[in-house]
Amino acid sequence: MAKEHDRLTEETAETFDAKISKRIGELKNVTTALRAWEESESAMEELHALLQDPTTDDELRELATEDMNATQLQLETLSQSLSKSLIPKHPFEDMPCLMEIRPGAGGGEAAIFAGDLLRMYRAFCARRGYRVSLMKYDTADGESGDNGEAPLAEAILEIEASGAYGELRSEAGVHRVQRVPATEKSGRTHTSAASVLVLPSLPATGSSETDVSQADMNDPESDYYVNAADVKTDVYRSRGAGGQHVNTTDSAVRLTHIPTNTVVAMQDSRSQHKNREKAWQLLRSKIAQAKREAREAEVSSIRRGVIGVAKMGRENKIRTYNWGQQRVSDHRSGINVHNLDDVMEGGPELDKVIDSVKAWMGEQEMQALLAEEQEASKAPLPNKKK
Amino acid sequence: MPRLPHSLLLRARNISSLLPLVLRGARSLDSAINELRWLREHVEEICVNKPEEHFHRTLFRLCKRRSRGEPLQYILRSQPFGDLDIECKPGVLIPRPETEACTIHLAGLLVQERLRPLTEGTNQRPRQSDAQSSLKIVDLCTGTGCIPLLLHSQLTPTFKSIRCMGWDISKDAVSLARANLTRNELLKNITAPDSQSSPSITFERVDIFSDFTDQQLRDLKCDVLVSNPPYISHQSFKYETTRSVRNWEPKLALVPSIPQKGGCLPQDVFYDRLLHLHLKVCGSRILLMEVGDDEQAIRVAQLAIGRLREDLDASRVVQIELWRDSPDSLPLDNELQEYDLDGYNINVRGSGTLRAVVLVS
Ligand SMILES: C[S@@+](CC[C@H](N)C(=O)[O-])C[C@H]1O[C@@H](n2cnc3c(N)ncnc32)[C@H](O)[C@@H]1O
Repeated sequence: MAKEHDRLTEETAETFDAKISKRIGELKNVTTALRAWEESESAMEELHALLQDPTTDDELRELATEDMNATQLQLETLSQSLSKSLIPKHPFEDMPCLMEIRPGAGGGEAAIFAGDLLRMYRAFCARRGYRVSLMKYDTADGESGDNGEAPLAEAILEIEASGAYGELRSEAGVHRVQRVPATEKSGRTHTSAASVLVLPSLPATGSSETDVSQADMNDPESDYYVNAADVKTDVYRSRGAGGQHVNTTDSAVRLTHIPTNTVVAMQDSRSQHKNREKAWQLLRSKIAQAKREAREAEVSSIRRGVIGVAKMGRENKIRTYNWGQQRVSDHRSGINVHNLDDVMEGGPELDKVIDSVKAWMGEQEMQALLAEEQEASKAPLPNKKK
Repeated sequence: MPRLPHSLLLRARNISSLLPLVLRGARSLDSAINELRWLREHVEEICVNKPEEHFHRTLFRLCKRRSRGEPLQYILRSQPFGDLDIECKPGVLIPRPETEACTIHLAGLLVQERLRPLTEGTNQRPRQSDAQSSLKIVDLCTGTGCIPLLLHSQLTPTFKSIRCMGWDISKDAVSLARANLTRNELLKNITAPDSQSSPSITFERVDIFSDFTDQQLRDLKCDVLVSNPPYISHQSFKYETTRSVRNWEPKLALVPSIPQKGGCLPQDVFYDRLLHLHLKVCGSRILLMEVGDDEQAIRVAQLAIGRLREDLDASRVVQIELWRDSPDSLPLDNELQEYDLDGYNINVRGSGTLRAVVLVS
């Protein structure tokens, strides 16, 4: 691997290529971790040799023993960071993201809970110093809450910080709530749910913070490419003559990606122009995510055997928020935290939950890699062509 | 105006007590929900640091105004137009989305230099070396000034120098257009010229049917002439405009009230004048005229053909195009992409109602 690193560095000198330099960055992490680990290993060997040597005097022996304990500890953390660096980075890891929140089963209570999650993530992002904007906020018919707003039907948060995708991708899935709804007279506990989708965000105006260049968006091979000819645009059209005859405020834009039948609609801004821009951004994100998921579905069955069941697909219940017990449990990492209020305020307890899931996801990846590695070494060597 | 069904009002009431008020103006539940949100955001903005009660009273008052059919754009005093923010005031027509689409499309074609007729026998368009460097645009019947302001902002990155001039007969329109220039310069949507150079966008009060002064004749010389003139007939004004348009927007901006000159319908008189100015006075390369519907588009195209035949100048190749509501969209199966009018072949762009007649030479 260190060799590959050197070769790539050389190649870069001649032809600069963004992809190669990205790979170098990844390899560099591995090489650094590996070198540190190797150094500690050889230090360990030296210390061993010193202790074995009968000519070593007592004072030196004592020092060596102390050193050995410290090095042993160091070796453990180093081997952890080495295995972390070996886990392939998610391709969207460094990108900003969009987070879509929708109420699931459970009627009005689900809509209220979806609103709670929206507030939770906004607070989380505020605490982290991420810039957030509400890209879409759709309401449904029904009794309005105390703020006079209709119940939430769908919200999309745009989180502009680079790396937000990596930070928040653990949050995708179905979140379940168990509590007595404010509207429930009999005091019976209900279970309802809201779903969260995390998409890589591709801002239309190439801000310097992101990795995706205009070139990527125009490259048919890239995940971020959408062929304009495949997209049907619908805007509001008045039934009558239109033009000077009417002064409608309807600025809704709906895009349909015909090959995948992906539909996005945007109507939040008074400006049709803005709605169109945002709709395109959302469509690109959805299609990039779908392409990526399709590729993941193709991975070897061995991998699926390891990650498969525990998969964090969007249909899976990933977490439960239990009001009665003031408890939040994540079903993947198995963590339980008991400070529900702090979680709902996007506080450090939420970090704890998220970190546990990230660690869990890392382990899953690692195990999948090992399983693949084992399978590969069992398999007969492929016939080389003569 | 048909009464709103009771069930719809009840549904609106169920969502918010203010919604039925907004619904009376907006006429559809989806629009009403959006409008109420925009009203609320607007009031939140103007009521910061004021007591809660003030907020509710203000919001209620604005919803009440909307229920009487007053356009939301007059209540909020603005309308987005492309990436600009256009101030709106009673007495001046509110910019329409169809105008926005035409303007953006025109800007796109100018940037790509795609608005030149093909050179005879080849598949190429002549390139003018200075075309990318300077451009003069004249907008007649400019209203809020939305068209030249948006063109200027969209074309600035491509052209070294752009001059825009807007004329309107209405004093209110001209002062609002000037205010919109300042507003969008402050918002950094439009680059303000430095203090030494002459202003690159100007607005004047001129009746386009008057006899022009020598200065005005010089001012009219341009590359691109655009106009969204009043185009509604008296009949159509009475029966086909919505209540909000009829009761709140200026009739001067909607219905031509020029003594009829033979040869065209009263609602088409502005087009006759615009064709004359384009062909005889402005020396312009492109003329874009917005129209009200398919029939008017065809009439205006025929008017143009008649004019072109009259003063046939053999050296001048003129193409006539018709643009639909969404000039960028793919046409539907039942939409003609080509018209044959009086032996003239006319290309049609986009999808929707025919919305503009364009002459390119
Ligand atoms: C349909 S509005 C268009 C406004 C603006 N261009 C737009 O698209 O929003 C027509 C404008 O023509 C102006 N107008 C009417 N008669 C005119 C005349 N004889 N000369 C110049 N302007 C006139 C009106 O004051 C009005 O502002």
